[in-house]
Amino acid sequence: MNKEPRKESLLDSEDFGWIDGMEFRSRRRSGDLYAGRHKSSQLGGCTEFADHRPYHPGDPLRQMDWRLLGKSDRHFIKRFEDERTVSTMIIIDRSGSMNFGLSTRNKFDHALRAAACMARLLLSNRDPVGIASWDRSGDGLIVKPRSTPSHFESLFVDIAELPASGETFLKALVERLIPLFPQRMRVVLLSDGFMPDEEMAGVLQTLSVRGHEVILGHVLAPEELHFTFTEGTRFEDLEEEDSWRDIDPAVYREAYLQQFNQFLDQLQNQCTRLGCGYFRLLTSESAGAGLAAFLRRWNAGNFAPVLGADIK
Amino acid sequence: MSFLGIGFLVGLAGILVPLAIHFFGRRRKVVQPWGAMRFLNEAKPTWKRRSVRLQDLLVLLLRIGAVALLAFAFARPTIKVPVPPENVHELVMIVDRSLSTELGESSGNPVSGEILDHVSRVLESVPNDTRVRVYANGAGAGLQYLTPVSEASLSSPENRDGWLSALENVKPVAGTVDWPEAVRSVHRNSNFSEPLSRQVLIIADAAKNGWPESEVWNTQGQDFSVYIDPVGINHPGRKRPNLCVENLAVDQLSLQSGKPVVLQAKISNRGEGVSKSARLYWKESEKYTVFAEEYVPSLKPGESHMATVKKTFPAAGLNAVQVEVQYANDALLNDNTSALVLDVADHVSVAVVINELPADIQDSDTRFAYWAFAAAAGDPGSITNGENHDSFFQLQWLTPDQMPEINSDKFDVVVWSVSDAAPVTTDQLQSFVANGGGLWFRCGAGLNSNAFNNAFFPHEYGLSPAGIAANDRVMEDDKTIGLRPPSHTGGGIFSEAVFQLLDELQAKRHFSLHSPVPESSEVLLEFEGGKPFLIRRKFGRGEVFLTTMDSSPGVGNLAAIIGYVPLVREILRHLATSGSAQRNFSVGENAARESLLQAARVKTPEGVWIEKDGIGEIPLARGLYWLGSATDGVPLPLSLAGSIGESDTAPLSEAELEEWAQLEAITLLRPEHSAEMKRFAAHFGTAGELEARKDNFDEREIWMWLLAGLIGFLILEVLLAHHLLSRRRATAAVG
Repeated sequence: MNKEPRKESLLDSEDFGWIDGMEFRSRRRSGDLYAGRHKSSQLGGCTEFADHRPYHPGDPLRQMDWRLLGKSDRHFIKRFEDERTVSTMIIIDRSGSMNFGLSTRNKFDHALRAAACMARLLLSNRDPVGIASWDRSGDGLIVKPRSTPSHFESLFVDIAELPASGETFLKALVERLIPLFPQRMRVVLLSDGFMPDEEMAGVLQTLSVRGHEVILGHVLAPEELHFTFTEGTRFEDLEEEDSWRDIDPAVYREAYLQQFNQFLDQLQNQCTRLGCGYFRLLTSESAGAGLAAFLRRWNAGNFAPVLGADIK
Repeated sequence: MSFLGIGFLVGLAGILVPLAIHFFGRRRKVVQPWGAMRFLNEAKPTWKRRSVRLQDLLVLLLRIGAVALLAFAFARPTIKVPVPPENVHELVMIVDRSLSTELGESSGNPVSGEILDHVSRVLESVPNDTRVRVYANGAGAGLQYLTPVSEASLSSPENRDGWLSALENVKPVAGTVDWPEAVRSVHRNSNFSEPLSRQVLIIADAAKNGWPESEVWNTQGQDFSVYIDPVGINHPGRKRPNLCVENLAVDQLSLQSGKPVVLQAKISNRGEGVSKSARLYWKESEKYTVFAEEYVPSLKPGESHMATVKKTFPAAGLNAVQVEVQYANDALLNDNTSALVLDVADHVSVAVVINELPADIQDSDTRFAYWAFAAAAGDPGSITNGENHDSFFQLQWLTPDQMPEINSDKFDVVVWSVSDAAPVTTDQLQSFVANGGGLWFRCGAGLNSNAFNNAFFPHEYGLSPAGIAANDRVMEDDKTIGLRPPSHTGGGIFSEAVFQLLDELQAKRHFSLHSPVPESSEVLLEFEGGKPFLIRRKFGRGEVFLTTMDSSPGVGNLAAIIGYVPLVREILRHLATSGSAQRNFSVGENAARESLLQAARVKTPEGVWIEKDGIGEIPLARGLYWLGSATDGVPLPLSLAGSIGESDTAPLSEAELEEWAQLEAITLLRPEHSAEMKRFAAHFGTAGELEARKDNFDEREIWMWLLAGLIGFLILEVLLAHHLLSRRRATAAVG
């Protein structure tokens, strides 16, 4: 595959148009060292007053609240909020199931577009962005978060070239990432979640308990959501070779939808329970639109799952 | 169950088609790469695939059934159904003994023999104690009751033999049988007062004339069932020969030279059967004398025989013969009486109606006119004594009182030279001309012809100078007028020689016509000043000539001029031939003479034979064949042919029989109508025999039921397939 066309296709002005002028607020305080727009877990020298604390010897005198000292003859230190950047690691599922796309583009491409939108948005806010993708064979990459505008190129120049195949290897990837990035950061998972439930729960839990802000972008195709097949079809597994089923879709449709909806509910509940963000990226919708719908609610403090772009 | 067309069962192989479609023609499965396989593996089918397979199987079975039903329907299966016994009936047989049943008597295999066989067969087929009455029927509706040997009138062997022998002894009667009336007379017969339902069986030959129109049959009484057993439709005796004169030729030069004339006739057999040997009689028409006879051998269909005879005609300069061809074949009665008669006439009859007969002529001037006519006719002697000399134009001088009924059989040309005609006579003249006669109306000095005027030249004031007072006449005494045709292009109807003589004709006096010549008429000759002299008008199939000048020297002077004679001759010749040509078998014209023929074949001038059906009755092909200069001595072919037509023995066609079978009132019994035969036979018998006949089965075709089933199968198949499809679509459309 030529890597230029894939990269070019990621830069869709329509997608970017949806998120233009938006920001990606962090739900947790940042642990980054660099000044940014997000509230830091540390109090710093910003102009926004935070609180007072008793003066201890050794505290810088310029933080002394002299006015309070004059009134109450007590020594208190004035503390102000500190704003730092939030590093974001976008993890893209590169399993075989992400390669599905029938009436729309395939899910991996869609995830890449969403990642590109997100990366551009974050970089424009001067937040560091990294990207990671791995598969079972060890073929993959990890790009460390950086906030320079030119970093955008390096984010996608390699990942766009990689194929999506094989089983989901998210858990191993996360386990590999954790020692590399001990500080708290924002982790955005772009995946269809087609893996064992316990594996997905483990990934979310592993990231959450380490203080990371986890957001799951659930990439789905409309055929998977509605199962609109009518004629007898041979379904070949994208993740496992030589695995297929001959099925009359009319017969299995109802049961499939039941299973699939159950899976969706379970995943959303899991995210809610672990404090993870959840938004659905449908390949039938614009990637930018899906992301924008999520950001509008997320930035407004609504952390409930977002189930689509709601494009009217 | 049996099949009438078992070969169509091969079509059962067609069930392989739906089978092949079911097993091999399924849609190829779509291969779909799929990521969410996990959910498919965990899903259990909502509704059982087995029910789908069952419905697919049902569709397959319906399709197989439809194909099989179609094949079976084409094979025309029959099932045996019991023939329900009916009440005891009485059989009334009316046996045809008309003359046509004697067809084939000479060959020893007459139709009547077949009829008796049928009678015997029917009598043997009904039980012995069935009541039977047998009638013989000849012409009309008269029934001859054949008394049974035993009084009981039962179908016993004794009575059976008695009836058969009695039928053989019944003398055939000529004429057409009125079968409906015969059935009605059976119905009216007082002997049938017993409350038995009856079956009337008519056993008749299938001669066409014996079968009256269908609506007559619908007047039957309702308690009669009429069966008709047509016999002998394919009897070889019905293949009739048809001798006809295909070509008749006369040597014109010999005719004109007074030497013996060679007459040739080509006799052909255009029928379907072999003609018997016949005699050919050459006969003069009015003298009824046979001057020659000839043997015509037996001719196969399509064969011809050339008959030649020499005949000396007495008149010198004869240039026409009149021939009547008559073909009589009453071979049904006597095999030796076949005859072909060629009737040769050697003159044209001209009636000259005038006030004074030649013997009474007082006026010497008038005598010129007589002389002119006599000279023109080549019979000067007729002026003095009125005798018929041997001349081609045979003049009959008649006064209006003596004039017999004018018709085209007696005269070919009528010259009207009297002042007026009674309306009755005018009507006769109209009919005469309309049927092809020629009429020459000569205006005399005292002519007053209103009736004539109204009959032939109806105009504002009439065309002829009728009723004009003497003062209105244009008398130009001192001035001669030359005759000219209005647009002379070489003689018109006149020969060139006669036309050259017209310059010498000079008329001193003439009459002016009362009105202009109408468009329906044509001026053939006119005076120098442009006034018309000879006017012609076609009327019906004949022609009328009107001359505006009297031949009497007292008024005009034409008759005294020698050049007038050939003019008269030409006019007579033209009038004789133009009308007779119409009377011949010319193309597009019917030969309206009394005739026995219903159809004729006519040869067109291009040599093509055409069929002329429905031309009325044409018994005799008669006509005058003018051998004029146009033939230049070449034998003139007389082409005519006539068939013997639809005689009493003509067969009824199978199609006509089928039409009869459609009538409700009657039922045809034909060998191929086995069901009708069985139904007929089932009417008769005692109660015990009828009880025993419960096992009598009739084979009935059931293909229509199979077709109905086929349609039902197809409807079910369509509904089921639609249901399956809509169910799949409905489940898919939920999302």
